[in-house]
Amino acid sequence: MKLTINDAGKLLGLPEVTIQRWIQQGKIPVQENGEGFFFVKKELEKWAYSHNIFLHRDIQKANSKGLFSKYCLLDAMKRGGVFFHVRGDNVKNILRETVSLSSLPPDADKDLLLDMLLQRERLASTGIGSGVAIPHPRYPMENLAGEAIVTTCFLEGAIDFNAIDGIPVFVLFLMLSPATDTHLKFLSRLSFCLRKDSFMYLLKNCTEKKIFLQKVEEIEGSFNG
Amino acid sequence: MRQFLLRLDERLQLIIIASLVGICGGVGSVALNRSLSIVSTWLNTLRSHWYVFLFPACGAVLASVFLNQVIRDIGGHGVPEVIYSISKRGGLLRLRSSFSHLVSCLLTIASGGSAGPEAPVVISGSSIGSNIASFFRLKDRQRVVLVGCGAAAAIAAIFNAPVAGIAFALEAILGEWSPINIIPIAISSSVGTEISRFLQGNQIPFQNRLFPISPLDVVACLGLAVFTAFGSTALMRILKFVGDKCKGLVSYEWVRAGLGGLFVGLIGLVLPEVLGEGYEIIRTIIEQQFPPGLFLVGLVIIAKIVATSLTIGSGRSGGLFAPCLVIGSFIGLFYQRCLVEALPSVSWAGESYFALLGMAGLISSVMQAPMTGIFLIAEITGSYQVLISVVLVSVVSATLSHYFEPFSVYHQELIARGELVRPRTDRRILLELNIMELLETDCHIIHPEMTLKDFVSVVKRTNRNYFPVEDSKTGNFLGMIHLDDVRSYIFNYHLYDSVLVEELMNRDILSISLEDDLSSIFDLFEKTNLFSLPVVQDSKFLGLISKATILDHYRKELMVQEEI
Repeated sequence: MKLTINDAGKLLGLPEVTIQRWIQQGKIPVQENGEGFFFVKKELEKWAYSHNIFLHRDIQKANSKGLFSKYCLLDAMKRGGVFFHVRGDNVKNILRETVSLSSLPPDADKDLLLDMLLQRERLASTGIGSGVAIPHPRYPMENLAGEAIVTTCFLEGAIDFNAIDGIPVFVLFLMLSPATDTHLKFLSRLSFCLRKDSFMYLLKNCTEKKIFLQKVEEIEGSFNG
Repeated sequence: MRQFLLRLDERLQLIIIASLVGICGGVGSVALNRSLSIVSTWLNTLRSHWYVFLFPACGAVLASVFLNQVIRDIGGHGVPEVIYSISKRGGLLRLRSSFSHLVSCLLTIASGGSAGPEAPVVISGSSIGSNIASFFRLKDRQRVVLVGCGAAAAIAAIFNAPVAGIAFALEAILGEWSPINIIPIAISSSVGTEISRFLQGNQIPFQNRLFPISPLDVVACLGLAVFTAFGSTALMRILKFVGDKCKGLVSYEWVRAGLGGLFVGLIGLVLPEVLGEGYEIIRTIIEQQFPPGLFLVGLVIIAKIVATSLTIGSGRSGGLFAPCLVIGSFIGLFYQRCLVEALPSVSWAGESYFALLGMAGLISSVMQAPMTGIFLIAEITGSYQVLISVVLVSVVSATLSHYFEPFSVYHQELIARGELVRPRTDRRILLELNIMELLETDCHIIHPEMTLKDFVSVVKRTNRNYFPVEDSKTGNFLGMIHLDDVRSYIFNYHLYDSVLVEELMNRDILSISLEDDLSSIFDLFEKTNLFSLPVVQDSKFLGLISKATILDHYRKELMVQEEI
């Protein structure tokens, strides 16, 4: 595969001027045809590998997934699923129920995930107040294949979650992210929604998945930041 | 042909082209050598006439006019120009340099100027190497190697000394011993030598007989090292002094050259030993035929140093190798005669032994290139049995003279101008990286009339810590805000609408302009203790330069220099 000077610069994470100078100085393997210089991708990769130069193509792949699209929270919620009348009398049972409901990848270890969630709760409650809790593990889950999921569970009856304001929790958002920055991104979007009175009102009275997701779409659409 | 070559593996390609350079360099050397002996023989028939002392002056004027007016090339001994081109211009040399110095040197030396044919052949060889590299459209790195190949072939061919050619190219010209250099240079050096042997026979220039060496002689040669160290210091200082004086006194180059030649001619009237390249005189010494007397030898040493300084210092092309060999052999002779005077009871090794060592010592010291000295002497005299003494004298003399004249005669001028840049040094990398490559343009530009609230929303959207402020009408750079400076205010909601960017910004920021070089930018970072500085040209903001980015690029520059 042929690469232009510009492509090579992007691959090596260097400005075009530097690549041009290296060509002039004969430091980089380059080919020439009638139109000018070009690089053979394989040759360039081999050269970079032998000189310990890091290639930037892996980063490009990760970014190109559109992880942070305009409606990424909505998409993650659709992936994770929305459930009503979830039962459980204490934190552990509720979390076990939530984990079993959420659509995890087939190779995920649900017991391990539950342990991790409980561990996080022991450290500090994820009940963030106003009857809402956002349980999540302490470390990013790497086997999510790059796609975060948010599972929403409306509880049958509110339970004591050791929340910061002491108000019993009636809705859970289980957040599983492949990386820390994804987690923070989702957290900021979710808290943006939770700050809206109309959203809180809907949470307390919601009985239908479609209406809930419509509301999320509406609020996430107005999010900028 | 060219297409075929360019498709080959780089090493193979260099080896083939290096052989070509070797052939051309060898032919150039032989041509100069041949024409020198023809012209000298012809001029020798006129030696008996009274006007003979004018010859050096005439030759000098002709050489100077030819070089400066007809060809318009640079004068002097020229090797520094080759090294400069390697340092700064990727080894680019003019095509006319490949013959101009040969002609000019022929005029200088054949007429009796005190200089050698080596520097001109080095220049011509290097220039041939450089131009062949350009013909094959090779890149700077390969061109530099081929310049070295040309120099090696030239030295190897003129002295019939292949290893000395390699050592000279690596030590004096390239300053770097790396495998990728050594292979093509060795090839070119061997080819150059073979060409010279094919055209003019395999002659050892200063063949000598075997002589017995006692351990005492080896110890005594350490004393000789002191003499050669002083001799080299004297030669270098006088050369510099005469060069500076000549430039100051006479402005016309051809007048200067003529006057220099005239003085040399006058010295030659009294002491004909100092004239020309002096190989005949070395041969006399090696054969132990030089007339006895300590005073005469001392006088010749001084006269030769002055004559060489006058010839080369007055701006004509000629090499230092031959004069160094002559002076060195005389110093050796002088030392031996002193020894015999002081300790007549000891049976010292012959005069030729010390003359050899003297040559090695002087070459090593003047060029600060002990390997060149060692191999050159071993090869041009064919006497490997004195190798130990030669090594001792060379390294000790080079070390001693280093205290007085720390740099090689080829380098001192460039170092004084700050233009000697050796590969794999900090200076090399700082010189190569330019500001445009380091410039970070993904900055968020803010305007003085923005409120703190607006600024905070900009901070949210970016991952940068430095924010350049531009005038919204003229687009001129006004100052910068560093996040650290305003960290305590940006969380204060009450100030959001009441504080403006122009009240927050730092107006006396030191900035970089595009002409600055990297070392001065580093000084600026030290001074300001900042991590990023703005680049401002004609009061317009162009981008930021950060220490972190420089580190990243610096490391990559180092990494691509590694040869795999």
